[in-house]
Amino acid sequence: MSILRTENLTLLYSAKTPFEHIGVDSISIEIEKGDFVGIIGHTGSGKSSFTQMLNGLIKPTSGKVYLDGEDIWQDQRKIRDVRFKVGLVFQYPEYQLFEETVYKDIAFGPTNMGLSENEIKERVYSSCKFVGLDNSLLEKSPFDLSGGEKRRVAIAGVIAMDPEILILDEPTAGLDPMGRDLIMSQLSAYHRKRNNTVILVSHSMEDVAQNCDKVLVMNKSKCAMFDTTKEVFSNSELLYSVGLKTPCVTEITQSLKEKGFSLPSGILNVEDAVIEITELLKREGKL
Amino acid sequence: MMRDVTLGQYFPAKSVLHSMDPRAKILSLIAYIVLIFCTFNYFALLLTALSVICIVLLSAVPFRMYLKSLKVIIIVIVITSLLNLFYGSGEPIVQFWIFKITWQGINNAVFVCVRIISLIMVSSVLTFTTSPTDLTDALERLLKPLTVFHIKVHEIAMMMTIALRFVPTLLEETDKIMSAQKARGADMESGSLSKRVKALIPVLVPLFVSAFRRAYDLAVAMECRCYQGGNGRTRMKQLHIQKSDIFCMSFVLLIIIGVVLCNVFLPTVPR
Amino acid sequence: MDFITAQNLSFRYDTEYSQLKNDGQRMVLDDVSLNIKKGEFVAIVGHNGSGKSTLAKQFNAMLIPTSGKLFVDGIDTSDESRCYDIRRKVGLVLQNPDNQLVASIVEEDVAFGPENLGIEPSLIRERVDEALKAVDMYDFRTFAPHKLSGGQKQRVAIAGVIAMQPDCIVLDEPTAMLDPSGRNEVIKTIKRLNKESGITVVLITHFMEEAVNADKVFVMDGGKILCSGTPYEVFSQVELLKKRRLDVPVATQLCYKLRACGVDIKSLPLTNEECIALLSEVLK
Repeated sequence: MSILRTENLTLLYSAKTPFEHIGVDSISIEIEKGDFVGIIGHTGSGKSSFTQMLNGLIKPTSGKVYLDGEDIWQDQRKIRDVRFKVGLVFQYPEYQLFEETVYKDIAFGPTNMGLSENEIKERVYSSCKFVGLDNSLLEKSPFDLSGGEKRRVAIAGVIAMDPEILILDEPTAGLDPMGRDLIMSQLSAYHRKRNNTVILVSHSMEDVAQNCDKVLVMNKSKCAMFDTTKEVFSNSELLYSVGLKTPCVTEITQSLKEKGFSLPSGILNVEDAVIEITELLKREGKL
Repeated sequence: MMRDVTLGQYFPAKSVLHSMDPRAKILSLIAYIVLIFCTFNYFALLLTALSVICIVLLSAVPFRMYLKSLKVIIIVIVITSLLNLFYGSGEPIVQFWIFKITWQGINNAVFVCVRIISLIMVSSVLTFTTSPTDLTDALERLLKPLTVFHIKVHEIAMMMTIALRFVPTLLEETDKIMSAQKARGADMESGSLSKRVKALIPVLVPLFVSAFRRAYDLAVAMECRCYQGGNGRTRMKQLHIQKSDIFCMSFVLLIIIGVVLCNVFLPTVPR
Repeated sequence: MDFITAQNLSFRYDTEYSQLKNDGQRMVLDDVSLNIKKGEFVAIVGHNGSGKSTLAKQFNAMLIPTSGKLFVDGIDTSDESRCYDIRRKVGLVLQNPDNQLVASIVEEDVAFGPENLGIEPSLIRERVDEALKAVDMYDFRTFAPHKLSGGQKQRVAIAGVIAMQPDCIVLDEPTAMLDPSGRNEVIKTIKRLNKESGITVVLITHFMEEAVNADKVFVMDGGKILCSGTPYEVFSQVELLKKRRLDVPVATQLCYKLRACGVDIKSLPLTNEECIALLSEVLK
């Protein structure tokens, strides 16, 4: 059974006024436990509204979200529990840090869950490990850290709630290449170890191609495509038509393929491309 | 959504009043406020009220907008009118229990009621027809003579400009931080008052930190663009007194003369 | 002619704050020498903390070298009396588009710089219109900044600098907070300004695809210049850059790895188009 399912999920802004406009238009998808799902789409395509409906921060105008088979809005009072199960890391999450120490800030979520002191401590330490934060930082003020460290503290703050589903809205925005690599590799390690479901909203086709099993393409509030990463990035026509790109390496190999060289479609990373091209050369006796 | 919030109640439209020099509008408003409180008989009151209606019609702003701003203080109007109605002195016309209604009471109530409504209407005309930027701009220029008294008029106006610029940005940010903390299980909708105030800390601290960061960035950006305070600064937008300003100012002047004449030559209402 | 010349420039923040953090002694910029010619498009790349933003602030005299010299159009930046002359010649655009717009109407914000310079009102009007047209934002002149997209805001910020008619604009990670389409808009605008108006451009970035557009690239690391040259010269040093965990354009990376596998590739490409052309040759 799927862990998360949406059924004709729809959101109208300023409903029943002259300013009415659609935010999310009838999206029905299913996400299996352990999936690493990417969500891509233009700014304003409804990605943020969609993810905020998944954890009950926004109530849909119509349609349903099923978590573990249960409608999350069935009981209004239990919506806070949904937010603990579906952890959402916002864009630029470092701007939400507020406590005196890193420890207290990471503990904010677990404390709200009403856990015991010991459990909280355990969670803080383990989530620090996941994001690669040194324990010596725990007693520092979060405001004294570097930008990349702050970002990781904020992500740890959500991981500490031990959500079944972790959603991240552009976790690498604004970071330098080193910071980007670090966070992406930690995320994939987190996903591997916990075998939790991770949803990554990103503008970087490279990050999505490297990490995700499945990709949801959003365009003008609608789901344009929801399929395996390979299928999605093989469909460059559709991606271009919604103003997106394929990863650079996919673009290069795809163009070569179109020129008549026998390369497979949907090559997603440089390593695979190197293997395919050298093999092609070997087959033709040029290497 | 919160990002649609605009400061003030500027209502863009094309009218004589919209195209007027904001300085002329501010001065006229001040003249009107004085005028409204200097009506001593019904003729003067009627004249002011009619002229206010004229101005409202000239503004090309739908009447329901004015009703909206009146709605906010309708209770104040009702209460003050009632108090005035029941606490007039003189011969009672009707009397029951401790309440008595006198001619004076009726007069007072009518005057207070009409005055407050007129006041709200004319002030709304100013805010409806003038953008906040134009308002600050006009205030800076009108208050310029105060620099003689070492009042930093330019700095105050600059602060207002920046505030106008950043209020929508900070509102949007508040919205975002609140959602982010709710996603971590912060409970802001239930609990006792003290609990709710406490629940605001996770929102206020990041908001202040971010406001300071923005302020620092802005200061750097302003310095990069050669900002050195008000000295030697010119303005792109020049305000000119035009025909419409002269027309409106003379209209105001006419009403003032009319009210003065009414006050002088017609009997004052006994109060 | 050289427009900006740095001679053995070193800099450290000399504030109580940095002493408190025990790095008061650390040189943020360490013996940097470079020159930038008039009309050139220069990219400076490096990690956060490599000193590239500090260098940007040196260029318009927001910061003054601790030792060494920096000349902008022949003016020594340590001459305090000329600092506004320098800022008029070198405009600085910052990272966060939200935090550098002053006024709540686009055209008034663009007018802010010229107003500070005390320029004739009618002339300001002309300059503002020109600047807004140059960044393709003229149609948005009466908009409020918070109604614009990130890329549009950043273009307004660039217009605000252009309206001061500088010889050079320095952009400190102008695209770091933008989405891909906003990034494209901004880079296109910068390229056009450089090509069509001959404005010297210094682009500080950590997106290597953006640096590829430059005439010259400086790679900063730990306050020093690690290497410099044309994009071809710099990005062909894949190993050096990788060791410092800096990015290399994907096209370059791919061909570099193919070459390591024994594929006959002479010069490494920078863009996808070059890479496709090159690989079709190899595969033919």
